[in-house]
Amino acid sequence: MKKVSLYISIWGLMVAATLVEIYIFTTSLSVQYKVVSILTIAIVQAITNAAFFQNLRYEKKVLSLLPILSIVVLCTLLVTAILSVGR
Amino acid sequence: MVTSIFFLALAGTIAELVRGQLAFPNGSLLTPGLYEQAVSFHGLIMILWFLSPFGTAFANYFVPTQIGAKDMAFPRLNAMSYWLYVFSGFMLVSTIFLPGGGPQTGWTLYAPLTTTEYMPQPGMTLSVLALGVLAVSITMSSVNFLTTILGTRIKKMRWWKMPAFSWSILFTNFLMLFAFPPLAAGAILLTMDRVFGTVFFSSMLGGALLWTQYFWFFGHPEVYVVVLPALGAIAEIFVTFSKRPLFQKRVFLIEMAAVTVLSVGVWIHHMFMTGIALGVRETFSFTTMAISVPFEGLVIGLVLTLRKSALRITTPMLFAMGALFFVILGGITGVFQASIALDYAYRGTYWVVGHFHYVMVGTTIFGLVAALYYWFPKITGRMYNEKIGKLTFLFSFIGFNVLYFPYFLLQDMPRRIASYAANPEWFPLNLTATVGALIFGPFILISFLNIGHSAFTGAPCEPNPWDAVSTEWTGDYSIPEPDDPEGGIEESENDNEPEKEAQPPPPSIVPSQNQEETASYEEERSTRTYLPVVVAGGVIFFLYGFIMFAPLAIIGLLIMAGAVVKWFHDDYHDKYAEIKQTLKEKWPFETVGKEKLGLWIFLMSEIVLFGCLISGYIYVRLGSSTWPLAAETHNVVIGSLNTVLLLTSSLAMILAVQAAKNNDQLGIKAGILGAFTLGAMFLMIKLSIEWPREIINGFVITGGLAPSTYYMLMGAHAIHVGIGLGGLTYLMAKGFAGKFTPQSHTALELIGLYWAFVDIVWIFLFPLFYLI
Repeated sequence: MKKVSLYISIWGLMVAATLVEIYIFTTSLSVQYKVVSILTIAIVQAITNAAFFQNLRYEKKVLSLLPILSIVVLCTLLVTAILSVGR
Repeated sequence: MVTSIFFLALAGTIAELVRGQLAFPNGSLLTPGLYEQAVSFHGLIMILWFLSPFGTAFANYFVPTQIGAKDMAFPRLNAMSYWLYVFSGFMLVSTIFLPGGGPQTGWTLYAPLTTTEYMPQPGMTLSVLALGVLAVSITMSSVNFLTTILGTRIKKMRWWKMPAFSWSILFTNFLMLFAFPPLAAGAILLTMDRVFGTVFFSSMLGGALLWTQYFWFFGHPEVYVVVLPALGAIAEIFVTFSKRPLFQKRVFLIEMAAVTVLSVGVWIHHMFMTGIALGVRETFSFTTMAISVPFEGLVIGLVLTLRKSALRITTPMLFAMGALFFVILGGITGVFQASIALDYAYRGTYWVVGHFHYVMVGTTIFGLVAALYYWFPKITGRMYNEKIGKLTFLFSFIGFNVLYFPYFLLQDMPRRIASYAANPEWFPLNLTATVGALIFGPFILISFLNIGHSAFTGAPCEPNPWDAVSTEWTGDYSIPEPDDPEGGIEESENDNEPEKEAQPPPPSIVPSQNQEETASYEEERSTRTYLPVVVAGGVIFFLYGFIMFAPLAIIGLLIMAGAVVKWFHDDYHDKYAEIKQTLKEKWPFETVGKEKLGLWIFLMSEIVLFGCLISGYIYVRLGSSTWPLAAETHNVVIGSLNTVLLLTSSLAMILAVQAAKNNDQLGIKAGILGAFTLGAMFLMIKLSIEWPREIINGFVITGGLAPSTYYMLMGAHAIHVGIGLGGLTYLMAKGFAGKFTPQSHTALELIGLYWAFVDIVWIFLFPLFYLI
């Protein structure tokens, strides 16, 4: 039951994070701030999802790092794509 | 192995035709169109259907043997991978017989030459699909090898003790896992351009540069994918025939790891002439030079292994030394390409052709032919004809150099030209190269014939005729690693004597750890299945039909669906018992079963695939000053609703897993049903509400890059959701039959992992398309 509550809490946080993303989208912040804030929330959501819904927090540390590593790889690809636009 | 040799014979024959055409300035053997096709087929088949799979063939046999595993981790996945490889190759080759023929673009398939404007023939589309199928096959293979090596090594086979060849396969497959998704991404986009009218490679914002990014992000690591297994095999051969341990094995392996990592960071050097920002080019010039440091370290390690040793000059040793010579020459000429200035001079000339043939053909073919001779007695229990072996080496070596060395002198001759009447000064060197081809090709063929003939007529030999000390020969997995202070093959600085006597001849099979496991293994092996070949065949039928003849596509789809259902049905009835192996080295995966490990590795490749697709989207979007605002084209409310649906679906799934752990059958059923229902609602909203509205509003797939990227990424995600729903259907069948228990719920956990991944992808897609 304790774990069920934990999963429901994590789900609640992720839904809340989605609402925050939408709120940021509606604010009058500059585009750069919006993009950075929204993508940061997305990355945190992705890591949270991987760590809890894939049960990685019950694995050894070296394995728990895998989703973070994967998301770092993803972000590196994104940054590389952005950099290579300098053409 | 036999299949890859078949593709070698095919690509080699085409190469002879190409050389025949170029022997004289006004060659008339091939028309210009046929010549371009020949060059394209030669490159594609040789690199992707021969060189990589040839190394993989050895790995299939020797990695499990070297590490003491009973088999590959997933035998049926292995079979599936093989059949997809075979059929994709036939699919590519068949395009030459279709109206308009196959690709005439070179193996690099540069855009916009590949678009329907320049290559309207269906053979071009089928060739791209063949590449996509091959990428799927190779991803399956990588998942299998990585799981096998990471998760099924026998007890005491610790990391540093693992033989160099198995290490090379480990690195190769890591590279494949990261290198082939970009190729798959490029193939997906190109197929969409050609079939659905998207504009990724025909628009000014994407176009040639986007394709080259995808292609070379795959293409440069592919060089190491091809070369590393050969270097691993050469290391084994040098150790055996010099009776010396591999020089500084740990350093050697660290250098191989460095080459692996750096190889994914050098691809821009293939694009120095594209006008990419100078700072980016300079950075990649540096990384290209940097990779030569660990690579030369590998070469030096191999050379120093031979120092002060009493070499036994056998056929495998000769071929291995030949490969070492070629890698040195190919490596040195490659460093020139790291210079932006020199690259401007050499790019697109025969200098580059010479360089990569020395690296890829010389090193890999000679290295792997050496491996074939070396392991032939182990595979067949017979000995090949040594005299013919040495003779074929001599003439192959001479022929190879006569063929390719003139290319370095043809540094002003452009690649891919079918004649050179205006430049008769190139004639003598071209004629020399053609003579070399007429020596090299037949003698490599004779080498394979020697092996093939000896497999039936060779004299029976001892189980370990070379007195090798590697585990696949000795079957002894307790040998301490070379640098282990507890003993083992110590490295000696001051004598010429072999440090250690050879191990006693082993039995020809890997010894099992206990009789019970052996019996279980034999029983499991008898559970053979024809389903992988049927699924692969269905895929190919579907793709042919999709491009050429719609009814065939339906037949293919039915075959595929039927086979997949049968596969799940067999699994439902536990037809496939697991290959049990209890005595394993487990670090760092003590708590992870091989299925879960395999799925994690697969998801890594999926992350790279989506990363490439999303990168493509960002790439073209940032280059545009007129991209439509998200709020104008997409409904944020629908997007938000779908996000909540998918997040909730993931929650239901993890609660189902938790219920299985607590043996709560009602919870299991409710969880799976909830996950399925919410996932289905997500897909229905997308397909029946959102997309029709957008299409009615004029946001159609052919309407430019914005809709092209949107439908491509959303479509890729929707397909993954659909596959997940298929998995959930299977889970429902099992769950409602009460088949999940606290001890047995692997399928539930695995599909749950996949479902969470689908959720993670959406977490990125939602803000990228609806908010930003």
